Amino acid sequence: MATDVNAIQDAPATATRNSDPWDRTAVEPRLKVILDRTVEWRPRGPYRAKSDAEIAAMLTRFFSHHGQRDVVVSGVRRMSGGASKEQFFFDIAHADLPEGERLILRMDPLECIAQTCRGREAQLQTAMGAVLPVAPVRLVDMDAEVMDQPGSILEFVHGVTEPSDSSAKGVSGMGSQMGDWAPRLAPQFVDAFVKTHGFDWAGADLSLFAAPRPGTTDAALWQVNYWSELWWNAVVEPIPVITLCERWLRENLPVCENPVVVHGDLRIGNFMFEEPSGRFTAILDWELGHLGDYHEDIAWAIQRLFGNWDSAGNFLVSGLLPRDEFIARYEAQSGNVVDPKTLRYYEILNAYKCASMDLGQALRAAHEHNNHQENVLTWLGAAGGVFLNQIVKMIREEI
Amino acid sequence: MLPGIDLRLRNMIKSIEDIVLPAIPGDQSLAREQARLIAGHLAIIKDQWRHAVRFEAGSLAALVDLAWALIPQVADDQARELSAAAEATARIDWQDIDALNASICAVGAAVDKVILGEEGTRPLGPEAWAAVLAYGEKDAQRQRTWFQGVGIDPDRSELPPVASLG
Repeated sequence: MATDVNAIQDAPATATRNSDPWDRTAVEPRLKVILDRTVEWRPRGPYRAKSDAEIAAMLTRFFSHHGQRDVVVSGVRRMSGGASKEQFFFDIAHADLPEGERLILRMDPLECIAQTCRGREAQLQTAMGAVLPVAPVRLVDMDAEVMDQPGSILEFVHGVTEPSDSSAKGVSGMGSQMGDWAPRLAPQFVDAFVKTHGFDWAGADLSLFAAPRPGTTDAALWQVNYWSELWWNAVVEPIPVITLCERWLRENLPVCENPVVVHGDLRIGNFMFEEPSGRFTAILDWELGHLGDYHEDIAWAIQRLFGNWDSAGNFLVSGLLPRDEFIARYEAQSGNVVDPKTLRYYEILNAYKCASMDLGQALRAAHEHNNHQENVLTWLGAAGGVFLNQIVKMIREEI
Repeated sequence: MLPGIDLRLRNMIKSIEDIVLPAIPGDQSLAREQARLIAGHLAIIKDQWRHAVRFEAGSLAALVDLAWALIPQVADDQARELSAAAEATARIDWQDIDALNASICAVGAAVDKVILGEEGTRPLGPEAWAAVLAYGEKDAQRQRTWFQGVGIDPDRSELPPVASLG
């Protein structure tokens, strides 16, 4: 990790309870590095999916660089699912572990639907391992100093993200049906939010993160700035509603009294459980994690796109439990009050994020041929109208 | 046109489903997923292609209408820019999909500039907000209708057929 973490521990300078809503420089420093790097690296494309042999050679080089001798990488197999990173199973043996073990490589393609930092993800995942089941992180190369692309090495975790017997399987978990598994999974799902938001982050090694000042609008502004810069750097075709939404978000920033760890993408498809017990074995995909407002996670989880309906026609959050029950259980267990106005703000911000990803970054990555699965990106891009519709409806209710 | 576009698209889908997918080993999950997505995209394109120019023309027309609706709501200099962008669309070939796309980008950029109002320093009145939202509602409905074949939209059952778009 070559980044000077001492240089980025300080939060962006903001002086009052209400930050200047148009101060676009207020972005977490490490995320600014990622945003700038996305633009800088864009012309390196087109990106070509690597062969198993190329991955094996790269991993051998990487583990040798980290001091392992007689490294033998075998059984490389590409994983499907997800819309963002390239992931591979592989078996590795070396002088200190001749019997070998199975690990996972999680690697950035040149561009994907969300531009994030493997170093931040690794730090957060490692920290959260103290309170939640997560895949332990072995090694990180967040700036591609040895690997061909930024990546991390994770321990293998057993489990499934949707029931093996489910007939409904969707892209990135969307559209999956949990059916009879819901009563076993729902309490653990709520618990994951409670533990994430209750985590004592001040004592953890999160040097690649900056903390919004409590009692200010920093938390919301930093998110708006990150996502709007991602949008403006990627835009393929102007979309007035996305621009209008940005203006609304800037003019209605809520105060966050006490920033917490926000997972950023905690929903169906991003938790793994074992069959037949239903026990959670891992909370996945911490790449969007940051310090911010817990309403952001709640608002993300209750999006209609990430849920489905039971046989009685009731909407189920992540296919698990009704929205009101989800919020009530969360409040009771966490002690956090879910404020409807703040929740609505983050519902709009989250619709903006999804629209920016689906209609902006995903399509730019596909346009430049800078991803390994452009067909998934354009498939998700086709869902952009759903988020535009939500933005219009919600802003209308607020003005 | 012989062979026709529909025929060739149908044959490609059949080939992927009957020949390519069964030939991919079960443990090659990414390759299988990609093949299924290609078949899915082709099926959607099959329903869209004959309406594509009409759809893009409709998108540009709606955007031009928005520009004209905003002009009375904004300052003179902003109005001049919007007007110039909107008027330029009268000089393009509305049957040329590339020209339509380029005009959508040009008019959209002018509209975006007004909405941002020089980083919020210029006001955007209630009528302007209402105009963008009214446009946005129709645009979202068009986008959702156009891509209903993707099957992600939770409310796709309420959408009209793709052929209804103009």
